[in-house]
Amino acid sequence: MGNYLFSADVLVEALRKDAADESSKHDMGGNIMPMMVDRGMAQVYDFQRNEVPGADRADAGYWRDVGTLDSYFDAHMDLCAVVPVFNLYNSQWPILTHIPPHPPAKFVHEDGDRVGRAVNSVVSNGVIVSGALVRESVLSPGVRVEDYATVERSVIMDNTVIGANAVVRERDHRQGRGGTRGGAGRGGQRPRPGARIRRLRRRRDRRRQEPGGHRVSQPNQAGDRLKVALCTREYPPEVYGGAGVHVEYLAKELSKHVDLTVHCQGADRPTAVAHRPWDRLKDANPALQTISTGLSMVAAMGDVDLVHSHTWYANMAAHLTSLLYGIPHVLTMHSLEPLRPWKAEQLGGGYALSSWCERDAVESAAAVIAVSNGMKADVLSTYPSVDPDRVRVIHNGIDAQQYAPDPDTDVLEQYGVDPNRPNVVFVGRITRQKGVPVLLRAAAQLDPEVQLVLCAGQPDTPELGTGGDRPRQQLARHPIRGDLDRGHAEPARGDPAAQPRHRVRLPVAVRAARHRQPGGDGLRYRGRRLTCGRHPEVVADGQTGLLVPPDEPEALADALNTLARDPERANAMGEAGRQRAISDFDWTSIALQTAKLYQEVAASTAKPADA
Amino acid sequence: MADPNVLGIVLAGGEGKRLSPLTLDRAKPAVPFGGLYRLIDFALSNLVNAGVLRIAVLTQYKSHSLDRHITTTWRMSSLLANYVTPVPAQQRLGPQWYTGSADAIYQSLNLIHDEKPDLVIVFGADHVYRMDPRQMIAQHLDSGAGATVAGIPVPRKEASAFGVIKTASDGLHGRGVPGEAARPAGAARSAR
Repeated sequence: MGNYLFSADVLVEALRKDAADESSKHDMGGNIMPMMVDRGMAQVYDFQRNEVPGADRADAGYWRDVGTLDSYFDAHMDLCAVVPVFNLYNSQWPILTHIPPHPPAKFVHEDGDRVGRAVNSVVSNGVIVSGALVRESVLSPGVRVEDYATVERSVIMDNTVIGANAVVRERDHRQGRGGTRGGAGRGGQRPRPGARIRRLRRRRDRRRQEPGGHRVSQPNQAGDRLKVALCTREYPPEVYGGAGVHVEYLAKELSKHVDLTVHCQGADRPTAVAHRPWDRLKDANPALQTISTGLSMVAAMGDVDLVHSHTWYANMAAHLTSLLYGIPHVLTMHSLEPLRPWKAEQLGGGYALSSWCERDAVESAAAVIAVSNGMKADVLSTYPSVDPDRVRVIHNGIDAQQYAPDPDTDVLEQYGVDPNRPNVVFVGRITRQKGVPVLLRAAAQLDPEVQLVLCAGQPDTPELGTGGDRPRQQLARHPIRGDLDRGHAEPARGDPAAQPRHRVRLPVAVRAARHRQPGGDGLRYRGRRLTCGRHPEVVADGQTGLLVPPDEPEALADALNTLARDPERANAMGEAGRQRAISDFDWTSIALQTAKLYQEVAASTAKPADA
Repeated sequence: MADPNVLGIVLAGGEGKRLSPLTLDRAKPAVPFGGLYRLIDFALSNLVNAGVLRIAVLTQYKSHSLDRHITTTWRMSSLLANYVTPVPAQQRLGPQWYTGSADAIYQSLNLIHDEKPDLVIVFGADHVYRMDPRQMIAQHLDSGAGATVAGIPVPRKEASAFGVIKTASDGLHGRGVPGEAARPAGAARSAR
């Protein structure tokens, strides 16, 4: 505990001896005390026997090392308890400090639900709680908490301003299940977050902070640009699927054109306003959790001109925002809930809820962005009431600089992939939607020298993840290396690598790609390989790949074998595919098209000034 | 020794990396706590409440915030020659910073020579607790030991986070002190 007592002459002698010892680390506990022990001069004082004047039973023996943020936070919560484990009110043994010359704390407003109050909290002088709720928190001197804000289980540093409607609270470790990677979200313990830190950083960041959250773009560029809120389930660093990758790149480029705020689900992060499900729903159906998270988004939306949502996880939040604030809603359709009946495995009755969220949102949206022509057709056939003019095709994009060929083979070797054999590479989540069952059936018919490599993300459903016997048996016939770091293994859409897509209307595409890519320490290798394209629009049949009919493993295997036996053709197709990705699927142009759509929608839905 | 002359030394050079970003701009002992306090206030209050009124605070890392807190808050009457004074690393013995907690005191031995105390009580500044050191002083004098270290029993499974003290069966004279050389002994574990 770092408390020592020495007879002065003994200490001086010991320090001199220790200083002369070059092997010593010159540490009181590590060197000086052992020296004392060896000389038989040391003894222990039992801190538990210490009796502090005025101490009560509750806080006797209290000692906390607050060396980490978690222990620091926990010690603050100790102060807030009704019978505090550490009692600051012991006047016989006062903790002395400098008291800043602030006026007393003040709590104002009591009309309706606009009540200024603090419970189970320690509130310093100079604090004003104005029509806001503070619970189980420590407020340092000079803190302001404004109308309708909520501060829960937080430590607020001095002079922090918590803006109106803001919600500041401890991240609950039990939450984030429905809203983070892992699909079904029933996985193991999530790591204890460093997220508390966000609260503590607020003081530093508060100039950038507005009630609606952090702005992605620089405030000084905002000007009179369109204010857009982007609603998404996934946002870096919590990205597990294609929609998350899409939003990440789109947001980066879009912030150059509009004043963008991102609302996402999951843990707090500096680049977005994060929302989590209600505590009371922590054991409820994941769909209900998602809906509660969505309501939190609606409440936090603030002053925006337009809201743009991705996937059903965020569709409802944006739809309600649109209704509540009378602003247009633009919706990007990545997949259609009614066409994914297997999600019932994941959500149970929640699947009906997710479908309802999506339908209401898409039928009312001011504009729907489809990521492919096939998707546009799907939207129109699934939701016949949607006006075709409201559906715009803007393709998914790729950052061709990040996803560039890498000549090294070290990562390949690390995972036991032979770069000299023809490789069939699958990149994506292990889910039916990506056509995994078709690929597995085809795998049995591949030439013996072909390696099948799965760069696999998390499965969508536990059933697929734990695997029936059938996939395992089939996979066992080929060298499989899966579970690479998902962030590296998951390509952006339109990337040369992709998946045999399950959706029946789209033919499965097969093409060869020469190289692939992800940067950093992810998958890097050289050599030819075969891939299956996701959308027929991505693959120019015969030029950048081969298209095969859906749900026909034999045709897929034939196409894969054809290219595996003809490396020259495969390489040429790979090169052509990369060039096509660069020219047709660049994020810069995609963001520009999106921003243009925003402008059109905003202009057409603006109310006449004098109407 | 009825009324020993005790010099307090508070080791306040901790960088507190694991508390970042709270320690981006200040030493760990200067980190705010509980709204009004700084971490060092707990160690200093324990000393001062026990009548240890001559205290040197050894600082090193990002010490300005700490320095200002001590000089503006912890002011003793000079009439009785009491003081709480921040002592920065001065490189009195050569061009290097403190290499460890013992080196910090060694480089500041002049404080002990000047004060000529009977006892030197050395406290860290990173912990939240109350303790009356007079009882530790009394035990030290009664036993005639040269050095006394305070310890707390902690569950065995948590002990790896601290330095561990192995005690003799009478609970007093120790053998074979710490686990972690880089950190002060943090916990005593009774042998029996």
